[in-house]
Formats: sequence, C-alpha cells, structure tokens
Amino acid sequence: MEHIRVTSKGSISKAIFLILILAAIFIAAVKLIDLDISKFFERLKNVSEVLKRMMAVDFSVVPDTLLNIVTSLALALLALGVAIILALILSFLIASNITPNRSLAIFIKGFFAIIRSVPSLVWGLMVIASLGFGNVSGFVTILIFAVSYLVKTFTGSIEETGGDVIEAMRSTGASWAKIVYHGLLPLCITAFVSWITICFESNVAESIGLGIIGVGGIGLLLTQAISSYDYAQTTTIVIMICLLMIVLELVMTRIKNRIKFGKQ
Amino acid sequence: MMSDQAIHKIPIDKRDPKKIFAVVAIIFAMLIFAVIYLKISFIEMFMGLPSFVLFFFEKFFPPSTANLKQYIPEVINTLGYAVISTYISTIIAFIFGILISKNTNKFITLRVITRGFVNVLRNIPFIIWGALLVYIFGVGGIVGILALILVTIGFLSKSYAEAIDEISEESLEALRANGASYLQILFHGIIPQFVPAWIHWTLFAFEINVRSSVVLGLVGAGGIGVLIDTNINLFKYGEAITIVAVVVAIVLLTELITNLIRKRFVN
Amino acid sequence: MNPLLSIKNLVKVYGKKTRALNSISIDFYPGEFIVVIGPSGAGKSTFIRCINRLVNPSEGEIIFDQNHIEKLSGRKLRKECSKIGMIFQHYNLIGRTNVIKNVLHGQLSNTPLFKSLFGLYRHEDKQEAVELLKKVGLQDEIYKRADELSGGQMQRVGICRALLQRPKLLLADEPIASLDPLSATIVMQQLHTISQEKNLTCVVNLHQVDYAKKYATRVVGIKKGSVVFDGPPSQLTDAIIRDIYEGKESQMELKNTNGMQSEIEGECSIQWAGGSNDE
Repeated sequence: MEHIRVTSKGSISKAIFLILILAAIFIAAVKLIDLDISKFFERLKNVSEVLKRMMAVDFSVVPDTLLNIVTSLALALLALGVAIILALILSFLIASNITPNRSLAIFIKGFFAIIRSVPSLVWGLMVIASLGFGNVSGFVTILIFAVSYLVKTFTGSIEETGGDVIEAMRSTGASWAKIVYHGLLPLCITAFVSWITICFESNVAESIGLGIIGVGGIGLLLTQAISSYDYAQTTTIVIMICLLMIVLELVMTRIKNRIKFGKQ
Repeated sequence: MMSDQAIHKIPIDKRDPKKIFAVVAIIFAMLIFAVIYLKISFIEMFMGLPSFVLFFFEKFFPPSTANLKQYIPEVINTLGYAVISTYISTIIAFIFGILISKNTNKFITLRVITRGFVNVLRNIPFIIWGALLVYIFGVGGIVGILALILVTIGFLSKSYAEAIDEISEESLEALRANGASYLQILFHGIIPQFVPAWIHWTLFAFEINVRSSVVLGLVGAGGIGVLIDTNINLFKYGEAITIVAVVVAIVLLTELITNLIRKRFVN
Repeated sequence: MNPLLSIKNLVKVYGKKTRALNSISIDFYPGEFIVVIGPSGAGKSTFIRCINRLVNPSEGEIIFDQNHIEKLSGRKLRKECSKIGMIFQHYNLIGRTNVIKNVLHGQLSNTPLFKSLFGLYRHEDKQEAVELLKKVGLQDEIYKRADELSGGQMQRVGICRALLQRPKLLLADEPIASLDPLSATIVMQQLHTISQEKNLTCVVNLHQVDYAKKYATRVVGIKKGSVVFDGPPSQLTDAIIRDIYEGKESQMELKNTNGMQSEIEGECSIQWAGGSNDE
C-alpha cells in the first residue's frame, strides 16, 4: 500500500524547522533577561490588599481632572493642526511618484525614519532637557510624533493611489502644484482624514503618556496621584482616562464616517 | 430657458459652502482657544527656534562612546521583553479575535463583552498601564512584560478580528456543505486564510513593543530608557545621545528584519 | 419509486416582508438531472441552499432520503448533509491550501479533527481523491496551491471535493457563471457524464437556458419565489422562457454564441479529462 502524501515534498520539514526556530527565539529571550520571578511572586501577596484599596473612588478630584483633560486635548489638537500643515507640504514633496527632487526626497525620508525610531518619551526627555518643563515642551514633543506619523502615512497613500492620476494629469501638461491641488488632494483626502483621526487619538494618548516625565495634562495628574499613594484618586483618574478615550474613539469614528459618506 | 445671466452661475461644486465655512470656523476657533489656554506663544517659539536647535546640538553633541559595552545587557533586555510579550500576546489575542469576529462567533452577547473588555485594554495608553501595574505589583521586568502584554492584546485582538471578518464567507460555506464541524472549519478554512494577516499584524506589534519596552524603564520596569533618563539627570548629555543612537539602531534593525520576513512569507 | 428529495411547502422570508420562496412543493427522483432556471432574485439560490440547510427555511418540510432534515441540528444534520455535495459559482476553495487537501475536505465529516490537521486521512480517501483528480485531468496540479489554478481548473477541484463526499445528491449553484465559454462547456459536460455514470441526482442552477435544454432531464423554472414550470426540456418553449424571465430579459441567454461548443462536447463525452484545453 503505497503512501500518498498530502503535502508537497519538503514542506513538512520546512514547517518543523520554522517552529523550532521560533521556539528557540522564545527560550533564548526568557533565559537572557533578568526576570526576578521570585520577587514578583513574593509581592503577589500584597496585590489583593492594593486592589481592595483601589476600589474606592474620590470625586473631589474630578474638576481638576476635567481641566487637565482640556490641557491634554488642547496639546493634542494644536500639535495635530501644525502637523497637518507641515505633513501636507512635506509629503507631496517627497512622494516618489511626484517629487521634484529625488535625492532630497530620499534624504528627508531617511531623516524622518530616524526621527520615528526614537520613542516619543525619549524625545520628551530630550526636549525637556533643552526647553525646560511646560506646555511648549509637550507641544513640541507631540508635534515631532505627529509630523513623522502623518508624513509616513500621507506619503504612503500618495504613492499607493496617486500613480494613475499623476500620469493622466502630466499628459495634459499640468504643473506640479496643479497636479497636487486638483488631482492628488481630492483623491487622497478620505485616506488623509482617516490618518488624521487616528493621529489625533494617538496624540491624546501620547499627551497622557508624557505626563510620566512631567508634561502637563491628565497624565501628570495621574503620576502625582500614584506617587502620593492616593489609591482612590488614582482609580478615579484612570476611569476618567478610560472614558475619555472611549468617547474620543466614538467621536472620531463618527467624523470619519461623516466625511467618507458625505455630509448629511 | 436659461438667460445669459443664469449661465454664468453654473456651480461646479454641489457642496453647501455655508456648512464647510462653519466647520472650518469651528476648527479654527478650537485651535485659537488651545493656543490661549496653553499659554503657548508661537511668536516666541518661532524666534526661539534657531537658538533651540543650536542649544540642542551644543548640549547633546558630541556623543560619548565610552560606555558602549555597558549598554549591551539593557539592549538584550529590551529586545527580550518585546519578544516575550509578543509571543504571549499573539496566542491570547488570537482567542479574543475569534471571540470578537462575526465569522467565528455567532453569540452576540459574548462578542460584545469581549469587545468591551478588549477596548478597555486598548484605550489606556501603554505607559499608564505600566505606571498602574508598577503601582500594584511593584517594579521589575515581569511587570513591564505584563504591561506590554495587556496593551498588545488590546491592539492585536481588534486587528485579528477585523482580518477574520474579511475572510470570505463563501469559502466557509463550502466547508459547511462538506459537513465539517465548527472546529474543522476553524482549522481548515479560517486559519489558512488568516495567516498572512496574522504575520503582518504580529510583526507590527513586535515593532511597537520594541519601542515601548525602551521606555518601560521610565516607570521602573526595565529597559534601556532608564539609562537615558539617568544620564540626562546627571547632565551627561553626550552619553544620553549615544544611547539614543543605540535605540535608533535597534529600532531600524527591527524594522528591516520584519520587512524581510514580511516579503518572504506574505507572498 | 420513492423520491430522493421531497420538498413540501417550502417558504423563506427575509426580514418581515421579503418572501424569497413562496411555498414551493416539488419532488426529485434518483438519477434525474434537474436544471433550475430563472432570473436573479427569483429565489434559485435561496432554493438550492435550503436543500442542504446552508440557508434555514422559515417554513416547510425537506425530506431527503426519508429523513426530515428540516428538523435536524448539530451532528445529525451534518451527517445527513454530508450526503449532499455542492459546487459553487465562485468555486469556494481555500486558496492557500493545496489542491489535494481541498479535495480531501470532502471527507471532513468522517475524519476526526486531530487526524485531519496532520493530513492523516484514510488511505481509501486519499486514493479516491487522486483518482478523481486524474479523471478531471488535474493529476499534475495535486500539490499546487488552489489559487494558482485557472477558473475552470478550480471548479473541477470543487467537483472532486463534492464527489469525494460520495453523495447521493449533487447541488450546483451557477457553476459556470464565472467561467469562459470553453471551460463552461467542459464543466457542464463533465457534470453530466458523472451524473450518468454514477446515477447521481443533480440539481443545477443555470441562467444559460441553452445548456439547460441540452443536458437536463427535467427543467424547473422559478419566478418570484414560485415554481412556474416543471417538465422535460422539450416542453420548454421560447414563450414560456420569456414569461419566466419577464422584466429581466437581458439575463436570458437563449443561444450560445460560441460555435466551438458542439465540437468540444464531442471530445468530452468519451472521457472526462479535458484538462489541457483551458490552461
């Protein structure tokens, strides 16, 4: 009885090889890191205590929180506004299918790749070291994040969908500016709006996260509550952050859908 | 009959100009409010820009490469945290993904509950999770990994669920007509078609986790970010920028590797 | 002779008002090759999917092989329905999986999950799968990924998959609508030959009326959810066809414009394989 195989030759051994490599990576990672597992399990005993104490809510901190939410939102919005302007200009200059100068485009793309590979909290540290604490540092840090994100996504959209339109308009003799304004902008605007809404949500998340290193806003408030071991306040602020992000997501989705399917 | 006057008034745009104007005006108002509320003076910023750039380069350069070798353990830690958290998250997120997608879970209550839970995980910014978990569990590498896992599960579950939703129901219909059970349809129909999206999103999550684990140290959970902070606090800016350069190198390398893997496997 | 499939008062309502099927009662006997014609939206797809419970009927009885399958659920339903094979307009294969595994899906109802995951199907099943693929001319593509094949080839894989179920009834929902005329002829010819060789009852949805006339032993016309014609193709006059397609005449295909049709059919009727032609 001759054996009939169900898979092509060699694909089983390839699959096994792959699994072994993946397992090896995982095991290597676990062995190489210093994980203090024993300490962790020791502290687990205290966890139920802490969680019990966190079950309280402190409403007195709500007005402060709301003010700080406005701060965080304002920072996010402002950074978004400036980032949109900068990104629109830059991305149409560096998209490979429409760039007026190839080498400059590559240089700028590389520049932004490096900017993006530095996590924003690290940028935050450096900006605060240079500019001091205050809203300006927060604004600049979020701006760096937002511009690099939008430039990447805008350029991606232009390069993916712009090809045909550019070809067509070039054959009518349109200039760079005209192709951008009359051809690419209307074409990409829905994709851009998607990216912008995602960017705003991310900006708010960043602005909250930056509170850890001292940037004003609700993140800072939370950090302060945590360092003063005020359990009730911490819980309240966390809940409000959660609510804020959920509301934000709902609003952004609505705006996105409105623009996609036409204003009613 | 159109008169000569009317011909000149043919609009080329159907949208209501008043509405657009109102929306733009509101956005402008919000921006101006933000500037005033935050007390940011753009004029000062503009004028201060050249001196900021000069200042920045003065302080942070030249980079000091003296202690390069000492950073290696932290680099490994950073990568290791990212690897472990991505591995664990992908399994759990896959289960949640199946529970959230309409294609694989016909019980709407279960879908809604899982989606709500995952949304809570997603909406809280990563570093806040880190701070919270350190608050509850204390400092240490495991706590950092836990934070990474929670956030990654939130992100991946939704992405996985969307990918599963996109699988064509027709191919699954055929398996149903063959008489396959739910699990058989899952393993023979859904998983083979889900693999490209799985690779794409998991690699993406790994890239994000490498970045995130860099900054885990800032809440006391390990990672190379802690070294940057310490050096800045000690005014050793040259060292700090070197470490930043190391971080850039790690992240770019990770991106390179994930892109290679993508090209190889998601044909 | 008892009917293989007996449908009584089949009703399907979508939402509150849309009556897709309006109390259809019809019997199908073993060995028949039934072609169902009618415009899109008339309920052909819904009708054929109710037979193997891919769509659940709102009312009515479906008695297949003496079993009331409208009452079954779970494992019993799957067991009965595994006796009904089906091929689809868009082939519905798993693209990234190879051809032979796709065909073996036909036996999933009889293979435990664990074994199927490692390809440990029964030897007879694997053998029959290879035989079927040989007969349709795909023996060289057995280990290729299904999405690397042409439309006609994919449909033939679909046929093998359905046949591996060793079914008593074969359903086909617009099997040639997505194929070029050459592949379409090959597939229809193979279906017809299989039906005759294995005495397999077939119910096929088509909108190409000329194919219906050529292959069917019995034609059923569905218009707006009800059966308006049921008889041998000889009784199907142009007037009746126009009535069935009333309002949607653009969907009728009365005459095949491809003159090659009869030549190819001559070649195909001797053996099944026609594989080399449509690559």
